[in-house]
Amino acid sequence: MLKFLRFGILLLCVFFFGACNFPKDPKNSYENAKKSSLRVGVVSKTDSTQTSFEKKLIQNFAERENMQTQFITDNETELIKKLEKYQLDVVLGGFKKKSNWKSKVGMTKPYDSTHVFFVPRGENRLLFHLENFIHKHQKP
Amino acid sequence: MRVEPFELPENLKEKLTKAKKMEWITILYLVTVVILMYLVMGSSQAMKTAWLEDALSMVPAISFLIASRIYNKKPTQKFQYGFHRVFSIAFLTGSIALFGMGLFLLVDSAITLIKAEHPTIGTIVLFGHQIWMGWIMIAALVYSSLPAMYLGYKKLPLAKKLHNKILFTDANAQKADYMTGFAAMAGILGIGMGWWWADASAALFISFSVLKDGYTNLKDAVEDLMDRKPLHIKDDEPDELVDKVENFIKSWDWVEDAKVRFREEGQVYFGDVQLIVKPGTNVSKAIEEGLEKLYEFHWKIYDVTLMPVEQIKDYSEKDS
Repeated sequence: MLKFLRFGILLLCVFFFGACNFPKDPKNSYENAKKSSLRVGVVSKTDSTQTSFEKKLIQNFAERENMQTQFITDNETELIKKLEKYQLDVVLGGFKKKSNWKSKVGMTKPYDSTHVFFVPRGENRLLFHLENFIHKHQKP
Repeated sequence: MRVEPFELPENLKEKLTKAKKMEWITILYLVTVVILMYLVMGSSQAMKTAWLEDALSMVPAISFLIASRIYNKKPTQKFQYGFHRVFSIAFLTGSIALFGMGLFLLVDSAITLIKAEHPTIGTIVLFGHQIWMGWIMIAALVYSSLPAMYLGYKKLPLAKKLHNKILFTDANAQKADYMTGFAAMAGILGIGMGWWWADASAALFISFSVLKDGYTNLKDAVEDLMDRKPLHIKDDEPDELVDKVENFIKSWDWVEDAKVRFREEGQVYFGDVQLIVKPGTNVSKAIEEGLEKLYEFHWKIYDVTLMPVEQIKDYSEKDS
């Protein structure tokens, strides 16, 4: 029972210590985007209505967070590779919830009913703020 | 040789009914836990491990309930020793499941750690507030460990009284379930701190504990089925009842010397006794009476053969 208590106290300490700005990014994507700029990968496609809409959304997000933006257009595979190496912060390209990239990337919740943004895996603080934006943006 | 259906003594019947009730509650509770954990687990390896462990902990409860419907059936033409061993078989099944799952989880978690997969945990909107899913996971883990601990503590004394291994294992595992819960919570909080490795490490820790339980139980189950000398279930010490029976038999006035040998068949003991009979005894009558006395001696002494011999043979040279 003593072991149990001690462990609980340790957990509580960890919690209070880290409760401010919880959760954090292992690779600090959010903080870095604030300092320099939000690096956005845009998939080059013929049909670009969805993409330009998404671009506008991300621009709104960046404005709200006082971030500079930097757009890079390339094909899907290259962009995902960069995202995996934490060289990009967001990738957009009309991706859906059930995308084949599912195991390689982190996803936001859909901003409409099906479409999502890709973020680097495990960058939970960036994801938190992005989803916060999506939530506020969604009209009831 | 006994042909009637097995009956527990009155005070233990009550305990068995209570144990059955507790196991039903356990199953219902675990179903809700498994559903809840599945809904919130996301991409956390620690949550996945804890979830599988919870799902698996239904196996002992289910096997106990099935076995407790069969064990006391009357012996049949085909099964002339009755059905006591059904508990040992259920125990073996449960321990194999635990052992196998432990191995799987260990490998799975190790791979996650080696590949340095960063767990992504998003948010959920509850009552208009945006909440990090990690908090929800922790709440689910609390729900999965505290009631389980309570159930474990309640079942433990019943298992000892009934000399029922599967119930004991189940209770013991649940009592220790907070370890799993806390490990997984530490993993989730670690993710929140930006330590991606915390999750897979917690999962690794949980897998170890599953594997360890699985191994201990498997070893125990196999030894049981190998007719090992009866042991107490709580501390694995030899049951002194065996020696008591030997002394009891030696105290009979027609017995010169005796040696007993017992094995566990589920909750009860089967065995045989070598006897050196004093000259001038009506052997068959004395044996019939002796058996009656033995069956009244303790409920666990269930089926015994008394065998008159010229010279007692020792079964074992070594202690091991």
